[in-house]
Amino acid sequence: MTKNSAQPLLEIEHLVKHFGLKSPGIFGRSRGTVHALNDVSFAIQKGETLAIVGESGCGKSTLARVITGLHQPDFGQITYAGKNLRQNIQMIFQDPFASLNPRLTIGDIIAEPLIIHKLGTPAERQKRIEEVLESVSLQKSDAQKYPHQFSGGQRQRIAIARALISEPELIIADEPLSALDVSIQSQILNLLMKIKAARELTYLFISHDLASVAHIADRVIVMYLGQIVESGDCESIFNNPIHPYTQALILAAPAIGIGKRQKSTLIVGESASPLAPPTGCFYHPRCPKSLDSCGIEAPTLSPALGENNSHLVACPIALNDRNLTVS
Amino acid sequence: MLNPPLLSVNNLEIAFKLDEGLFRAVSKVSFELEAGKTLGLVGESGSGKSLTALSLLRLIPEPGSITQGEIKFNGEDILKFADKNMRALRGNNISMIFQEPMTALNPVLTIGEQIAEALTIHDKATKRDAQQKAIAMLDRVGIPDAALRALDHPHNLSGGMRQRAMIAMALICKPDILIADEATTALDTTVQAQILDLLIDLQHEFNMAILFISHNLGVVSEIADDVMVMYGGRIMEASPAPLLFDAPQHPYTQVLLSTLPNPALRGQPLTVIEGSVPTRYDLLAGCRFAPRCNRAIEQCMAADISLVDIAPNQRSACINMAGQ
Repeated sequence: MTKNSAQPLLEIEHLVKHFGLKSPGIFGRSRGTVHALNDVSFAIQKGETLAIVGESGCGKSTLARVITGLHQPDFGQITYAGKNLRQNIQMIFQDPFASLNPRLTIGDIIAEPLIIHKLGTPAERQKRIEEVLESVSLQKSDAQKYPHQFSGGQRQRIAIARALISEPELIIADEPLSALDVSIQSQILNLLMKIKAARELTYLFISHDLASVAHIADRVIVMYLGQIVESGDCESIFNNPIHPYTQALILAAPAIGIGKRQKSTLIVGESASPLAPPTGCFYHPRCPKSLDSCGIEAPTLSPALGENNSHLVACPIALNDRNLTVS
Repeated sequence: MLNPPLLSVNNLEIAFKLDEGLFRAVSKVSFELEAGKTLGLVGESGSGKSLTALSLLRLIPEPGSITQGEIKFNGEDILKFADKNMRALRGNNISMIFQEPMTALNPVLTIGEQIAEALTIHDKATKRDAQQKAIAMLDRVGIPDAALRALDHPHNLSGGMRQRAMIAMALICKPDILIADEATTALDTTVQAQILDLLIDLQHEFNMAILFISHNLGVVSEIADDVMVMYGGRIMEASPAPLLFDAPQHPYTQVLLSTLPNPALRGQPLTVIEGSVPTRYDLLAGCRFAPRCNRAIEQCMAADISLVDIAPNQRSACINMAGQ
């Protein structure tokens, strides 16, 4: 087969990941199954920033871990167009206080991907460490220091330097801003945008913060209880959300400039436990639009009419309402 | 004669005894709380906002203490209260909800027992009566099957339900002042919206004053009537919420707001605040923000700048403002 130029960098098909919960001990009784990912399919194109948004328990972090190989999927396929998936995908974690080994120097922390993948001589590694520290606006001399000597924002820069050193094609950033102060968040967001442009990187940006997603993403996937409920271009999702969950999520996001809140909650209750997801559409118990049929039939992602067909929504009711107004 | 304000804090200073000397973590903090109103307190980590909140309950952790100022509740300085009177005040007149309900709740007591405890202590209620009231309050904060949930332990509840239980515990004695310290930060966005709506409802019902502390400017703008911005242990600006967010006066507030992603500037580099907060910010002679301020002039580094009225209800601590 000839290589298609539109071939995605990473393609994920029908990914399923369940975790069995067991009481402690070898005779521990099974306490059910966490449905972390249920039939998740999407593709990442080279050079784009794809954001995954959703609340806790929606499976966004499990997804990152399955893609990076930290978890094995139960079912489904991950196709990587590049050469070596492990070496070319790097991850940035949420908490820069937990993700850096306190007993290693910054230089050793950053060099680890090179050592693991057996890249470069010690002299070359040293040079790469210095280069990559400078590219995240840290000093060469910082390589001799230890993590405790740095602030949260600087630690996140170190984590980014570690992710960059093996020159990956895809960086998965799992809530890279949420442990940082507001003024530091803008520094890190700027840095992520700068290095992406300079190195032609592809990002999978996982976040619950819609404002930063709207700022950085080209495309957005909204997840709920291990499933994709809506996906599309960043503008379509934010300006024209169709799935009732996406609408509720955008409405619930706190915003400056609208004054004191009017009671506006479109959404009731909390996400069901991924241990026992509801039947039919997983969102139906909280959904203001739900009909009897929503509890029976599981919806599939379908294109929205009147949009370019990349806007997919897993809600036949919202799509039908919308198609009636469009046509 | 005018009634004294519900709570007025004057020239508060909180200091920690360190080996290298006294660290004045919070100083020159003055503000008032009014019944039925919400005062938002924003600032980044280490700005002194949580210490300011804890001082209202006199719960500053060792080796820190309140070294100056007064905190008047209904006209009486609580810093002069005996410990016994202070205990009567905590939870009864002034109560607090915290960020992480899992660590703030007692894991070995049922939800109902923990909520009822405050009533048996403060109101000398009978156990049975207290339990009934606890269930009614759980119902009020939106916990379904309240009578059954009251028998659960904290680990049986979801994050949002635990936060509701903590609110029920804080409100069971119908306090005059509720302090919410990052009370919605750990929650999911859709649950956060529900808790904010609940707090606004309960405030109307009980006519409480709320001191709402958060680093999330969006959340504060949606719940506060007035907002105070802290940096380096000082108040930089205090204004009615609409004014503060539409027309911020202090350079710190201005630059802090400009760092936020803005849909009109999608994909553009965001404004950043260069540098970082010095660890011993209290040793700076002048304005705490001056070393990072792009409008700083020589006097900013030298003069101790205080908060002054720049317009009715609007205060700012900046030499560039009129009158300084």
